[in-house]
Amino acid sequence: MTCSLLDCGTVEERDFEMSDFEGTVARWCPGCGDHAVLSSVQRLLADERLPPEQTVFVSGIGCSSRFPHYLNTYGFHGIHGRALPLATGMKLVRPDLHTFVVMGDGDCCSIGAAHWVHAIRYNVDMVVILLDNNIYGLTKKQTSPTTPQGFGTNTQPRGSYLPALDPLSVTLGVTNASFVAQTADWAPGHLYETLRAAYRHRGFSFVRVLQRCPVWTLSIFRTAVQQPQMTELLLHEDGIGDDGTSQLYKNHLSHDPADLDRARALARAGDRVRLGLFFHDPTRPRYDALRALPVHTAEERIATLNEELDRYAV
Amino acid sequence: MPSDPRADAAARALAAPWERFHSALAEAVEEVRSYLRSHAAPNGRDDTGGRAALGPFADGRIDAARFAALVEREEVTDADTLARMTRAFEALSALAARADGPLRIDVPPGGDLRACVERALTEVGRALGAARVAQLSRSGRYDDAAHRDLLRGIPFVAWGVGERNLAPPLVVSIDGADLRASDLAVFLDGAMKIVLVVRGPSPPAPLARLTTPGTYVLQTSDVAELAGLAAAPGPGLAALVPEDAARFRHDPSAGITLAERLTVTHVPSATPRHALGGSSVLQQTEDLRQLAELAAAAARPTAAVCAPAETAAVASGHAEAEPIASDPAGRLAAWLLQQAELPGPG
Amino acid sequence: MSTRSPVSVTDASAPGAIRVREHAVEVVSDSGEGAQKCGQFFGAISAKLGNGVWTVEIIPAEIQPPARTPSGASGVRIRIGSGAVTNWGDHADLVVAFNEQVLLARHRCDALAPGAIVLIESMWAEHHDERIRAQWQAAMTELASGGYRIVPVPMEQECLEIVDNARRGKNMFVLGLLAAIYDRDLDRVRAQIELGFEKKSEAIRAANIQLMERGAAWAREHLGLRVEIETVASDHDLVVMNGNQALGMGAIAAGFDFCAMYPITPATSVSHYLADVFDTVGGTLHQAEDEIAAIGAAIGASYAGKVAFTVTSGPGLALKTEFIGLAVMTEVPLVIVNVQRGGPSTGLPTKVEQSDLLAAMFGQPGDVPKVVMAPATIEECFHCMVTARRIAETFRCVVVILSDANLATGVQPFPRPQLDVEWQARRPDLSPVSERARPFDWDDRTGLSRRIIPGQPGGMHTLTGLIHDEDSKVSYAPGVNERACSMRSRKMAVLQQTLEPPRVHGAETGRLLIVGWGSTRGAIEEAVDRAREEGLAVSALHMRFLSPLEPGLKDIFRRFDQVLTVEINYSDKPDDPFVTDENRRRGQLCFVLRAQTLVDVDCWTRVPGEPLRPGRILTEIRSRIGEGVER
Repeated sequence: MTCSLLDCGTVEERDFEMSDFEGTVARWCPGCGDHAVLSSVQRLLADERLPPEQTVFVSGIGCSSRFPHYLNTYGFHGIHGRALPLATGMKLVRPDLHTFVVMGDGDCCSIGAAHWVHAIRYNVDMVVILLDNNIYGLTKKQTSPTTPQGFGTNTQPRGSYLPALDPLSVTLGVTNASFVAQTADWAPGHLYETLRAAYRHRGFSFVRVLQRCPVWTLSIFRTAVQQPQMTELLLHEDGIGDDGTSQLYKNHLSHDPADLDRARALARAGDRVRLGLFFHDPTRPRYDALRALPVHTAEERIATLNEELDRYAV
Repeated sequence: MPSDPRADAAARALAAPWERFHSALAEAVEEVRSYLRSHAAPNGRDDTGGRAALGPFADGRIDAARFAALVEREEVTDADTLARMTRAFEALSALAARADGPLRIDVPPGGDLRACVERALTEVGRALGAARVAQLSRSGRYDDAAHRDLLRGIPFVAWGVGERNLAPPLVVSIDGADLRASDLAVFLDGAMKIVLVVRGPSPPAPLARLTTPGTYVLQTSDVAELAGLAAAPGPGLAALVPEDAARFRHDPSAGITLAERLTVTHVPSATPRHALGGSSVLQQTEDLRQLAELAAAAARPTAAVCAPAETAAVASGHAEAEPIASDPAGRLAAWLLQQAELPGPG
Repeated sequence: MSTRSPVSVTDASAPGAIRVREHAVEVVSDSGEGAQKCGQFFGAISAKLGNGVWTVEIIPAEIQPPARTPSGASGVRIRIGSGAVTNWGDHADLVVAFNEQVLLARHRCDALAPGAIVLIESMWAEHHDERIRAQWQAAMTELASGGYRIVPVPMEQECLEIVDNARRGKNMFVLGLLAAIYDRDLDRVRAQIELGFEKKSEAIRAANIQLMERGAAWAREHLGLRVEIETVASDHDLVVMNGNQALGMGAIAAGFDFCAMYPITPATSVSHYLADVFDTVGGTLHQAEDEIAAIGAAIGASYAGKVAFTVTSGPGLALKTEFIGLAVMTEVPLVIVNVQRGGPSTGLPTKVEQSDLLAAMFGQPGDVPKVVMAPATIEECFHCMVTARRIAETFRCVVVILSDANLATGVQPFPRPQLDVEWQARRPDLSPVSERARPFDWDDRTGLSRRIIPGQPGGMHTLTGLIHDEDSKVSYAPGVNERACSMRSRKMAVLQQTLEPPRVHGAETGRLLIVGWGSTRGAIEEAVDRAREEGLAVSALHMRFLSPLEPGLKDIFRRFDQVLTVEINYSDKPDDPFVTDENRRRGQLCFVLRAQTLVDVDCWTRVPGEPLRPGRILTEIRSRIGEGVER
């Protein structure tokens, strides 16, 4: 709700533990990267002391989209590709709700691509987590837009025909992008710090999580997981906080997240996996802030409408 | 009394903080109204409300009584709670309906500024008390012994952090002769904004003493400058003074050094010669001296005067972190003097 | 003024005064010449004087169709009467045409009454371009069959006395002509121009008033024609607006404060209206990136505690299908306003049709029970929003409102709504809920359950489009789906049990009952009234609730020999090739009534891309039960 006088007189401070946010037991496959993301999210909610009733996770369809079921917050497990419109409408009328959107690569980058592009531009305050495992997992291995070229699937068994779509480049290419980061399920410290930075950004915080699917795409991520030297960390004083990840990943690249052109250059696919904050601009206009309107009592609304009816009076 | 155009302009300038308060108030009115609609016992109430809620389109098309009987599964609350919620609703909607802009106060000549402001805030306090009662009641935490007095209103000293941060702005018209601004120090907390519209001759720098680190202070004759006050996150006080009075602005969010925060655009050259109401010549002179010293300190080219850590936090907008001092005006005037005497790091 | 036209061109000063109970006038021009504004003003002035008025726009499909072409005809029909006027009538009695090509368009679709008076811009007859002169000649030849009384008017020449660009001034000149012909008080006309151009400069208002005055003076000097229609001042305060404005204003009256939409003809003007005023009452109009996102945002807002609505038309409704299923499955309240146009596909974007009834009722895969209702008048467009929101909120269901292009662009005065605080939406209660509270605590009898929304401590759950139990937990256990389906369906039965049987217009028994829905009510009831005056035993029944259907239909149908739906949607004619009683595709309401009542309901439906004309319905009534009755 818009701030109500009823809520400002009685304030209670509450502390939470990770267990306060646990929903039903996660039923992703053993070894699925989503488990790590879930843990990081639960830790974030506890650390940031987000009341479970004030927190909403919205998702689409796919493995990723079961996410809300495994949290003890409010959740809306919607339809394929359409989590962002739901979250946008929700946030426009309820700025008080902490809003998280969880999507998969098919969900966000394929069937929901139109909403993705426009939601970036709206820059409504929400944390958007793209769990990118490069495949349609739930429906058993079909090519997704982010499937690497040449990787065989059940719909393109002789290998994916086209170069993979790069979600970071797309996001960075959209007017009014304000927060774009990449992290990986196998770098839990970095994952947590990224989510925290995303949560603290007021605007559309887009986090692409490279996420292993133990059943279908383990091989795609094997090099990145097993050879830390193939990973490059983007570091900067305005970037993602470091909790020791930089000890493991020794390739460091200083990147000022205010530099959009360089962010776009760095996002381009190469041999190396780049983790970190690509772009951050807290000053971008936010549609939800621009459209926040004062509340009126029923009597005031009626008075206004009566004036309006005067204009149409015979 | 014809309304002072400067007071009208000040009210317009404070539209944003007023809107915040009024939105929260309107939201509360509607929440309590909705509670009352859905918690009244269906049997004890005629179906006029139910019929009306379906609108004229339903006339002759929907049987409102059957509709109510079949579909209303609303919760029934005890009579005491309903009566209490009704009183809360009345208090909230009374304030919502009364004011169509920042609360306006006219201090009659010779009147007591502090008492007038207190009276206006008491009226707001009645709505705050009603809001607390409504919230406690609907969440089942109401305890008659502890909370009975809330409906009578909450005096400003008892307002909580959230309430102070939402305080509605005030526009106070007052004779220069009655202006004892230090009386207002106690109210400058949370996000309270007060604009004094000074009638007649004014002491030259009545607000100088209130220039405390977390408070936005403005003395001006230009209404347009009030925009800065309206946008300030913390507490603020402005006086619309005659042209011959001092003009300055202290903006806590403009930086951490006094030089960054304080802008003095005019200090009267004439020495005060007449006592003005309760403001003696000595006091007026002292106010001016204080302002002049502040200005001098701020103007030193290398005057990178750092505020103490505690006040820096206040300046960055977390005004609620600051404790209410027993005599904030005196304490901070001392601090400012101390700042003014600091030599520039050389 | 002389022309070498092959048809008789009436001497401008010849016709005298006529006294009528009603008259229909059309103003047609090229797109952009402002005929619609002229007509709207004239309609509003007439309403203020106490005439019954129905105004309907004649809209070309393109924004700037080529000038001087029949396909570009743009304009307005204003039907005024001494009593209430509920529809656009049959034919225009007086037409003001800005060129002969747009007049041809109206002639070709049989819009003019035989012998109608036509005031036409005279400049084309003597135009320097030989081609245009030839077109004029050809048009006059074609028009001869109508027997119209054609009066050339030097509009261009007259307007150039006042403005440099006559193209932008003729409409007010014509308003002056009409004011003189229909004897409208010029002070009222001036006031209307001031109001209608309130956002324009003083100079523009003054020029428009001068143009109007010149038109009135010209008519007084050159035209003997006067049409007298008695005006009866109303006892009620009246307001006058079109159906889309009424929907938008009704939404505010109903306390809606979130509307998400995507532009689509002919629904868009609802959002134009809201864009103007919604902010001032704290309402948000969200223009989403597409139709799907629009309904998605509306569902998101409703999920968060509001009752939101979306506004669309046929192609948009098609796109919203999957989300409608989600709203029904998760029992998120939602109101969908569908301003119907001709279909399928892009169809007839600016034209009226009632072809979305079945799509609204059954358009989603799976079992998707929802409420469908249809306002029949512009006043009902306003008030139905209150009822729709209340039903959606109470039943946690989707309500579809079926308006159409006829209501959207029709303008009619109606009693000023007496706004009531009770109409406004309730704020969601964010109080904590008990440990035992369940997101779908269905009442076994009614299927109703209490809504729990984000922000309520203790109520945390995840809504899902998957099949779920009372706790919103996904469950494939036997019986769960059966129970959830029955709970959602039960709500429709419960709502139906609160509905009153519809009232018959005319006698309670008879030979023929005409059943209609939506915007056709005025035309149907006028036809029935005229038939009853001829002694025919016909009555009418108009449905507001289509899903669930209003009760008592079978009893009512039994009292008539024949039951016939009249609708603006497609049906096979019984005598079409290959069409048999078994394979005949019937009108959409007819289909529903037959299925629900097992009565052998027949249908008479047309899809002309224009509102139904009462005269055509009357002809059909006569052909069914009026054998031997001569007129």
